Amino acid sequence: MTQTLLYSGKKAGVSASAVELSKVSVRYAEQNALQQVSLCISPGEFVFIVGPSGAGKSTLLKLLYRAEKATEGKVLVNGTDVGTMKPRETPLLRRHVGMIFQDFSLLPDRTVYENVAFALRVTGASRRETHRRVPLALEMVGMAHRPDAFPHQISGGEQQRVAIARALAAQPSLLLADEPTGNLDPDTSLGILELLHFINSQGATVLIATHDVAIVDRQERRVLEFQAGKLVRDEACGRYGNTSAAEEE
Amino acid sequence: MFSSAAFILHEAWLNMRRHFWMTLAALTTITVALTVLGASVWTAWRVHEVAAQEPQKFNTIDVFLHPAGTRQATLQTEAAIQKMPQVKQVRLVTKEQAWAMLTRREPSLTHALSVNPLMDRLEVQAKQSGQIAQISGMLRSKTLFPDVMQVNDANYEVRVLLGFAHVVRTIGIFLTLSLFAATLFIVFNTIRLTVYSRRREIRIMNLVGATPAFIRLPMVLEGLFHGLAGSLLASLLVIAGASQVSRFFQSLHSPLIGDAPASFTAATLTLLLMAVGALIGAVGSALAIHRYVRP
Repeated sequence: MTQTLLYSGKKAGVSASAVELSKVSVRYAEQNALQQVSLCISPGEFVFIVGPSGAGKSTLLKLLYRAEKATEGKVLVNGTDVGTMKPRETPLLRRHVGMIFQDFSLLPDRTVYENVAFALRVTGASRRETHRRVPLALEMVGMAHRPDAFPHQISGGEQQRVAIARALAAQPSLLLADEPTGNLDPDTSLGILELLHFINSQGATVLIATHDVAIVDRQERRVLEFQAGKLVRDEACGRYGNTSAAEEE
Repeated sequence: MFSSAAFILHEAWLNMRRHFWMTLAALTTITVALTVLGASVWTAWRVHEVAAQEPQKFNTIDVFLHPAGTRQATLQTEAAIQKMPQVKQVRLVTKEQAWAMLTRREPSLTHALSVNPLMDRLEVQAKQSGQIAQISGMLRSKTLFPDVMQVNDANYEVRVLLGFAHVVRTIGIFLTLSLFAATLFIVFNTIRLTVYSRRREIRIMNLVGATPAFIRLPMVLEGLFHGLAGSLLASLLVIAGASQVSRFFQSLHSPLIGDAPASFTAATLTLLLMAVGALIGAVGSALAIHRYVRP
């Protein structure tokens, strides 16, 4: 019930594709972070992005929340071309795209409640709206019992749940997670993954960049594998390693 | 709209409380920098006032007439001096006027005296300070001015002192301008440091979709507060110090410092420092935060 309330009237499904990349390249000086990448992710999909360090996973996510710009090609998020978007429109894009990071990125001098409320207030949500949405988001991630705790008083897994609650409070249609389980033990990682899976079941598109073999293999969802900036595998129900190649052998 | 403004103000206040030591460091640095600047401006202005006023004082020659002479003789001498081409004006201070002034100033002294021992005095003002020696020489001539008993003019040492005051004034202006630039630099760097310490918070605000204005405003308000509070504290320090220094010079009865008019008041100094503080606080924080707030 709580989850339905949080996601009621959200913006998912406005466009035919949640994410669409067409021949996208990103170059840093002499290095190619992404090379001619084309892909399409439908609204409501759950996608793992895998590959070694420096393969271009984080660059792909950065393109989607406009922390990076494509050197060439077109990037569409919910039907909007983020490459031609004006800088002042970036904050509006980010209000529709939730982000979760390996380091949790919580403000250490604010409580759990304040961390989530802060993200809403700085985007212009009224105090009443904030008071309504923060408890719902905390309840959804299972942190409603510790609203007054500071980040250093809770575990890494709980901190990541708060970070997810912060992303959810803005009711994003697209949730991007960059190594969300990188600092967590296997059991806690599974808990976080189940939470992301649940959020996905409520309608949000979820993209997870990860090195975590266990969680990818356990879910068997769509896998995009990157090697040296190139998309080398796009498998509908994949595992961390290349299962189709193994089957052919 | 009101809710957002209230939130921004609340955030600015919370940030200053949460980053108490950083706020204190910024406030202290700004206070010290503006105190040095304020003291320099005050000193330079006082030196300017004294230097502008004193040449007039030392353009004047005091001519004392024989006590036995008549008032008629005094008036004739006054008319003769007035005719000299180098003289701008002559003012007569009779011995009765001088006695009345002395009575007002030192009543116990005049009370002890039965007769007025003072002389008629003529204050002769030269057209140019360079003609003082020439006029004095003529006034000392017994053949031209037989009723003159004594001539007092500005001596060489005083002229050297005035030249020194002019040099001090020029250096003061240069130092004040240099200090102003240094103050700007120090305050800007201090505010940059406070913004740098909060780059994580700024990054998070950027990521969750806060507009640049929403990120900047609380920090610009903080900068404004630092500047205003620092300037007020600096004004208090400079005014207290200036008052002590003025009292000290007055106690010395120094002919150079004592009675120069203080046109540069405490209110002027406070307003000047507040304007400088507010400007560099707000502009400094806006510039410092600029590099961290890029959409």
